[in-house]
Amino acid sequence: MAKEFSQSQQQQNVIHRLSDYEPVVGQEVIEDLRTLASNIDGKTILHVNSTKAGGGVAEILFRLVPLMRELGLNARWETIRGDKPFFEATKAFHNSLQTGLSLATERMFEDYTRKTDENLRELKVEGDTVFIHDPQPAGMISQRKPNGQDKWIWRCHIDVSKPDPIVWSFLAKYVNSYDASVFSTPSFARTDLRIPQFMVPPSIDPLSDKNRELPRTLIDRVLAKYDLNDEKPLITQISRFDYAKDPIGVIEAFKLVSKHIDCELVLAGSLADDDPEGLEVHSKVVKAAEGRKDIHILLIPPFSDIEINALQRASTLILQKSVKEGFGLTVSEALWKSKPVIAGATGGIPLQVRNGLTGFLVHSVEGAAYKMRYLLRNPDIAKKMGENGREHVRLNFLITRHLGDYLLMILCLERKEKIPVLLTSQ
Amino acid sequence: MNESGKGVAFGINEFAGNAFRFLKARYLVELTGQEASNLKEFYQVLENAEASTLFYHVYHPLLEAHLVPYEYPNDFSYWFSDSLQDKDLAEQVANIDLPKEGGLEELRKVLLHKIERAMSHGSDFQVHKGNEFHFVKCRFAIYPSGFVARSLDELADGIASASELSVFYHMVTSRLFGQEKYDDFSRWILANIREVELADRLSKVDPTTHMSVMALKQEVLGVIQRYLREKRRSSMRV
Repeated sequence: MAKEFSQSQQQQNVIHRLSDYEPVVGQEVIEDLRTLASNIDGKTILHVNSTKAGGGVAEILFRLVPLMRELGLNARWETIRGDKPFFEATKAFHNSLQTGLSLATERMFEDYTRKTDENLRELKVEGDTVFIHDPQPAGMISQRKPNGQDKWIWRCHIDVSKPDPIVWSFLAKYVNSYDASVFSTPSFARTDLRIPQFMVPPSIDPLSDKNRELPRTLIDRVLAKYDLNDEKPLITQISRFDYAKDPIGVIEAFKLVSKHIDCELVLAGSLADDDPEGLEVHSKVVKAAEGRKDIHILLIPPFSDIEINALQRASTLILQKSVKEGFGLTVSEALWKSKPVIAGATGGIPLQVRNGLTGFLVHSVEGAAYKMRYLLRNPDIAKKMGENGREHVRLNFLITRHLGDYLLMILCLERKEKIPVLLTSQ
Repeated sequence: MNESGKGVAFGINEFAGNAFRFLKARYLVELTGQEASNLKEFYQVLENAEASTLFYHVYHPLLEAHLVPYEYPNDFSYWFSDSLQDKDLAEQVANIDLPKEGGLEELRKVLLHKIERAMSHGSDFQVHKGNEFHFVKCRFAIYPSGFVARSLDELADGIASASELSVFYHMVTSRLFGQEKYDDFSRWILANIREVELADRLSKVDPTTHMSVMALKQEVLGVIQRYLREKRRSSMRV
């Protein structure tokens, strides 16, 4: 088994071609991408972020940039350099922007500015369109040529709707110098930006190890590895051990359900090295599940994509009972596997879980418990929601849609017409 | 060109003389940062919202038919029901069809009137935090879909082969942004084939009564095919 996982794991580095996606999204989608790209005509598109490894942004760029190249664009991906003080500063900025707490010190602003100045001297950030991802490289806008024709886009992957005002005002000085910004969901956006704000949700790759079809034998082996009973309904939440994901609430809700229905719960996730709170949450979760054979707390190493995929596919229902969430792409991953999702109405989740159509949005332990019981007792409705969910993801949260949105945004910013942009065929 | 797009040659004339060139559009959502947590706020935003905001929230959901609850087929009616708990207003707004004249500005008037009535009945419910309505607008690109028709038969063949995006563009987007009384197919038939009766029958097809663009496409196609069959039968009798 270990060997099989290991071989499959290597597929993470497989670069897929556009034609590989055609059986999933249809010929028209691929042709439309070629049409959009042919109107951009070989221009240079540069993506800049802070890391090539780890995190959702790198994961998406790893797949998106080659597809842009295949479409005839000169797409490149650069990362800024950072040292410990710089990344401590950007981590504090990140948390301040997402929570509204004042976590950044005066020294951190100086560290950020110093390293940004070094990056400005050492890196050549040039392109017809430059995508700067997240706050870390936001200061690179200072390298923009005066009166240049190039377009700069600040792509924000986090929720900055209720930030610490000091950090936001520091960042907004840079952001307002861009041609446009991009947010993942309407609720993440700002009212005080002077530039256009586009909405481009993130995406999953249907061909990646995390999402591709798996043979039943492989799913069975993963279940056996974790001693899971596939004869009972399986309810699963995949998430870090983090209070924001409300794992204790999940266990409480499950306990209410299990009074009526014989089923099993899986809480599976990893512990991040940089998250000391994770251990504390994990031990509380283990304690809450004490004495229960039907609750399985699984510590899964990072990058166990195939195991996560298998657990999701083996599940009857998926939970994402977050009380605070970013976009929550694990929801799309579950919906893609035709599983109804019961989730907290926070962050990007309401875009993915359409209440009563692809799952249920809940606000309490009791709400989650009732909706679990309802779907377990009504498998036909659960099946229909699963089908809706897969189609919803196919249309809205796959990498091909993401790519098309970026191409259309480039065209909208480049052309003078406002509505509509008139294009020619390939 | 003004912001609503009036003045741009939507549809047929811009692209190909007397032939009908099938087009389609791709839409990109732009955030407005405006939100409403009660009916009064909703009204205030709607009064000054861009035309594309109305288009996106009321008609674009047709493209996601599998996710549209049949009772509340547009974003506004769904929010009125699901978050604002105003079923009466939700039903009224669910029943909105394509304006016969005046495009999206006419739609705005109709919506504002319905909301004014609801407010006069004392609808002052405040939604829970997190359930606010977020207004968006959209930009879009138009491009040829690859089919060109020079006769009624070719038009029927083109519609049969056209994607949902193309049918939606000609039946809804082009008509609304161009502030046209009729859809592109009807207008082309009138101007080039001069089959007034067919154009009249087609213009009665209401996209909002369909739960999917595929169903709309089947109705449009059915109207043209029936007309062609009737015409052939009558010419054989002659």
